[in-house]
Amino acid sequence: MSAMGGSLRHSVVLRMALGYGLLLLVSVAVVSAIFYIGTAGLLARNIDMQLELGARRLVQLHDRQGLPALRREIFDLLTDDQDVNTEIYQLDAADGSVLVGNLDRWRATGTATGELLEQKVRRRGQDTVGRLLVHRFPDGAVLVVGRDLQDQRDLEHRVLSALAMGGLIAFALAAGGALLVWLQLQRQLKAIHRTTAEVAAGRLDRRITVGRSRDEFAMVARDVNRMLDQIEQLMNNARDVSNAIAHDLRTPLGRIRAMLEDALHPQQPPQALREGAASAIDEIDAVTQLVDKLLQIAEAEAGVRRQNFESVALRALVGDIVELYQPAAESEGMSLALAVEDEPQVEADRDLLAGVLANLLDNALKYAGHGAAVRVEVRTTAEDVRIEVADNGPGIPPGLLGRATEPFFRADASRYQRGNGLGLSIAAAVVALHRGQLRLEDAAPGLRVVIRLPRGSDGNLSGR
Amino acid sequence: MRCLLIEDDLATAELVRHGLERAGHVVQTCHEGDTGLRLALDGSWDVVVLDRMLPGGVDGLGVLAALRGHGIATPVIVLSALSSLDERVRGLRSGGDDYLGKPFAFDELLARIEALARRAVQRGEPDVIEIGDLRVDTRNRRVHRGTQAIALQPREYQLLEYLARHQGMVVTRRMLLTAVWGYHFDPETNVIDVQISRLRNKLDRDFPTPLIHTARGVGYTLRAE
Repeated sequence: MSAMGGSLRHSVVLRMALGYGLLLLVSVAVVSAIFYIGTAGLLARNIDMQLELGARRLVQLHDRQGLPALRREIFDLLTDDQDVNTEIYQLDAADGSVLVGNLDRWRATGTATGELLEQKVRRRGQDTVGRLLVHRFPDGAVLVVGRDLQDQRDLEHRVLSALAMGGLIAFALAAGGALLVWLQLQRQLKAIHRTTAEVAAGRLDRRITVGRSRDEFAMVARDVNRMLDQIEQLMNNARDVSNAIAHDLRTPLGRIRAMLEDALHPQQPPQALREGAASAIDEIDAVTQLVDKLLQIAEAEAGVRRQNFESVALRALVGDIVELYQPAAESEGMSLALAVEDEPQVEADRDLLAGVLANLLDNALKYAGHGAAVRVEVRTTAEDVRIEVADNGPGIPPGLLGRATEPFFRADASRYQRGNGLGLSIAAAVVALHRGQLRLEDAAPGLRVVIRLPRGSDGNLSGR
Repeated sequence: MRCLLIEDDLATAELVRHGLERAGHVVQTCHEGDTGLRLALDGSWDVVVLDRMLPGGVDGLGVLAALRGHGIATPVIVLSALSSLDERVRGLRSGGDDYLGKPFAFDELLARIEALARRAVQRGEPDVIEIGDLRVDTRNRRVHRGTQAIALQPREYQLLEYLARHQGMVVTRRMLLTAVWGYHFDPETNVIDVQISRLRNKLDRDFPTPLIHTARGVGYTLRAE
């Protein structure tokens, strides 16, 4: 057994099972006690009541008609063939002589009048236990009204042994149930534990087997499986990204190396040397830019730059960037139009947001093609502020729109085109840093990039 | 110009020293933070080039803070392999006048050093700048070449004024973007070049001597031949 079964003392499952077993036993005990008090106890109280009633009647008889009448009455009671097996009557004279009665022996010493007591007596030649009510008359005569408790005792014994038997069975059931629950929970937890241990050991494709069950364990297992799917996906992405980084770093490094090797050849003309050096510098700039961009993504995702956020007026910022790109667009034969509604404000890092917009316009200039129309719109909706950059160029195939913000994504999957496919990733990361969303849509034809940002505090509107 | 170069990487230090000396400046190099700080406090320098990460007790930002703490306002340009935007902001907040990420083009460093030194010397800017037959009147934003008035858009004027204030020096694209538009980011397309070529069209096309010259791979210079 591994970590799970290792220490029974720490097993919550075992504690739960034992706890419930114990609870069951306690309930059985409580129910038994109530049952016992309700039966045997009730009988005992009835007996006492009957004794008191009988005694009171006899005392009244004595008070009205005197001792001889009482003696006659007791004699009648003892000879009427009713309750022969249980009745006890005894009337002793003041000197201790028996006037009438069916007790062979009892101890009257020290008993106060009207007192109920239980003692060993000898009745009709047999030792037994009697419940006795003793009444002393003022003249010294003593009346004893009682009941033989032997059958009562027998009944109590039967009830107790029945309850004991029931308790034993309940204990066995509780123990068995606890064991079953323990084994069952243990089995389900172990299935999860085994899989997570395997995943921890590096086998990321392992999943917990879940049947059609819908219980809590199945739910946990499905959650864990979903989490593992996500982790595996992320790991695959990370691997793809590392491969892409490796490719995009090694390719220019390889070219630089080749150029330097060329330069070492003795017969290189100076012109070729200069050209080689210039190309090497270009390649190095490309590598530097790649590293910078990767750092920017990491920085945006780490969220460290929120401290530089300030209230930014989008009309001015978007206007500046569109104005900056206007001549470049015109020289590509493109039209670049801007439409801003209202005076939207957002909480943002000015340079980062400008960089995002510049990146989207860079993309439009690069990919929308000669003569395309690019349109930038800024709108305020009830929930957010939207910046849309749309072109009517070739766009991105609809099936790939969702993946276009992944690092190193390129619509044509070839790595030989200009750019490293990081621009949109940076843009998406920066927008996410601003608690916004960047989405790509099919503008049919063309590409539309929609940025939604939370509304800043703009005075007349209760944003944020 | 007297430059103090505090840089621990010997190869980089040598290359920068050679380059600056070739451009006619006097350079003293040192490789540690504490000696660098002592030198910076002692001598009178026109500019200090300071590496961000240094061996010895004090690192680049420490040197900078101590320098500013002593009330010394010598222009400082910070060099760093930590070139992310956040690091740039930290460098500038600690009292640096400019920040350049490694690896850098030497010409970019030279352009920035000269711009810094010029800014420090010419606190009182002239109202009218003259370069050859170009006359830029900064009070009413009027531009003339000879007797001919040249009409410029506001941004074109700002570009020209910045170039004119740095006449004879190379000004990089990033410097122009920061100075004229007020943003720090790197455009991937040649937006600045297109803006310059518009300005060029208005400024140089109809005149025999061009004033705006391209420094290949670095930026632009405004100068009369």
